[in-house]
Amino acid sequence: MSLAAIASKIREGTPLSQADGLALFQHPNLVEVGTLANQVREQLHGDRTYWNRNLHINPTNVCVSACKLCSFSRRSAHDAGAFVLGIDEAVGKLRARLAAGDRVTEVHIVGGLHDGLPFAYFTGLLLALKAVAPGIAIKAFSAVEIFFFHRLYGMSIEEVLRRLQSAGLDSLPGGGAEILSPRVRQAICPNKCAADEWLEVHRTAHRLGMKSNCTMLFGTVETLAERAEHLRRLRDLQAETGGFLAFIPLPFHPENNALGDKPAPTAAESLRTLAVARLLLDNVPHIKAYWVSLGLATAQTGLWFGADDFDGTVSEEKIYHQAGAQTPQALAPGEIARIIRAAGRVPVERDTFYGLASPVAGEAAV
Amino acid sequence: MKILVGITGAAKADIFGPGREALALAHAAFGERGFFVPARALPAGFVRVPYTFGESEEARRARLAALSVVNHPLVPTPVDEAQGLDTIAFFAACRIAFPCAHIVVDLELLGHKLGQLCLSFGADALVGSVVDQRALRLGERAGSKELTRDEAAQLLRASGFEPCEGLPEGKGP
Repeated sequence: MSLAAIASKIREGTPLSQADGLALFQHPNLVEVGTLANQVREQLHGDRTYWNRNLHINPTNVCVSACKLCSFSRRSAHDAGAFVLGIDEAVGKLRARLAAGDRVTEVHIVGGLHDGLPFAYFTGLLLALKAVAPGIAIKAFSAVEIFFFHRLYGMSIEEVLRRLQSAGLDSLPGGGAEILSPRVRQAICPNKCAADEWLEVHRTAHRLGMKSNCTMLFGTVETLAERAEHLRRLRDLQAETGGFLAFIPLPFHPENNALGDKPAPTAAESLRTLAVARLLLDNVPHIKAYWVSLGLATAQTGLWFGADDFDGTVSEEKIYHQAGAQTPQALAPGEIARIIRAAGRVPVERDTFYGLASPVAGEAAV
Repeated sequence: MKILVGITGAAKADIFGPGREALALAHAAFGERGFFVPARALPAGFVRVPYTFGESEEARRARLAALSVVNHPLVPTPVDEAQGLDTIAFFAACRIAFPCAHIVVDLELLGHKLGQLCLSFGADALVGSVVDQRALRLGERAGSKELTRDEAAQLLRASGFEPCEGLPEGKGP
């Protein structure tokens, strides 16, 4: 289908098909695709660009999954560089931020699939964080981790989620989706949960009233058709549950992992992916330009290619930096606002659920 | 001479209209070819064109007007930290002002990601350090701008150009 025909469908409010998505990925002119995505972005959000004050905690990098795409994990607790954070140590990171006067509103927790930790470690971690900051939102454990807990501890997915929810879990991050294709998962992460299982975890979480994000790791071995299929599958689940808050495209970082002979996706590919996602995922409210992964300049430019969220202050990101990310470990709120404003957009501080933490009167927040 | 004002946040410019025009002009000048110049320092004859985020349209217009007698590859060069949107806007402005000149990305200054984006906004050439096999971009080398010929070619191909090494004679600004 031509770009003009796709533009016509968008104007009429007709959802795009998977084939439309593929046509957008294949269209020779990035700027034309970006123009369309920007129109949709501005219809939905105007110039508003969301960010938050968040803290990343990685409880462990010990992981039985041995995914070829990963630079973060260690196979065994005895391997060089392997770590497991004590609960006090993890909570200490939050205490330190709060003590420094930082009004963190979200803790983001993801880690390796460690088969030697009790389930009580994870519930204990949530309880301890909530004890320090009862009002903080905890976005924790990718669907891959939830599915691993289900297998390891012999509980249903629902039971795992309910128990974590009772301990303080508020929402799920979107990681581990990679590409929702059996062929690709077999090639890059054969020991992770299957595509249908990843979707089932999110479906269950949404049924329990939890919101979550969704991602796509692109640039490994997948085809453009598989990227379009991935987005279509996310949209199908969203149509069923309405539980996704944001989609986050993640370019593959090739350093220090078993797929290191693959070139990293270019910035143009990253912008195109943001744009196609904005156009295809018409039922997902937010598209995030995750600065840690994209790089600051690409993420800033992405605010004109469909993205309306820049992610947050982060602090101490490990997963992408061990894969060669050249971005800073953290950004101060003022720096985020400056970058967003330099793109001609209006920075708006949000909480995990896109409630506004900063006023937008006169569109002059932060 | 048309020119695109830098995006300042106060007066939002449309990057897409000039972007489309700049890309079309680059292809009109050089067809499908995109160029890569291996060099550790800027080659003789290349002319830097400074730009500063937040400067006025008049300042940019004057700077480009002053170049109107130059017949050399032009290298937009940020004076301070390069902003993403402002950089691609300035590349588009340079292409629109000088439709037939080589508009060159200095990868050492802009990095690979932002540098490649400029190829969608009027640039037709990259200049940067080439190595046969680069080291992992980790630790002290995290910010390394070196790249292999294959990586340079990939940056050009991913932007819709057929990679060519070296610059052919420009047609003059």
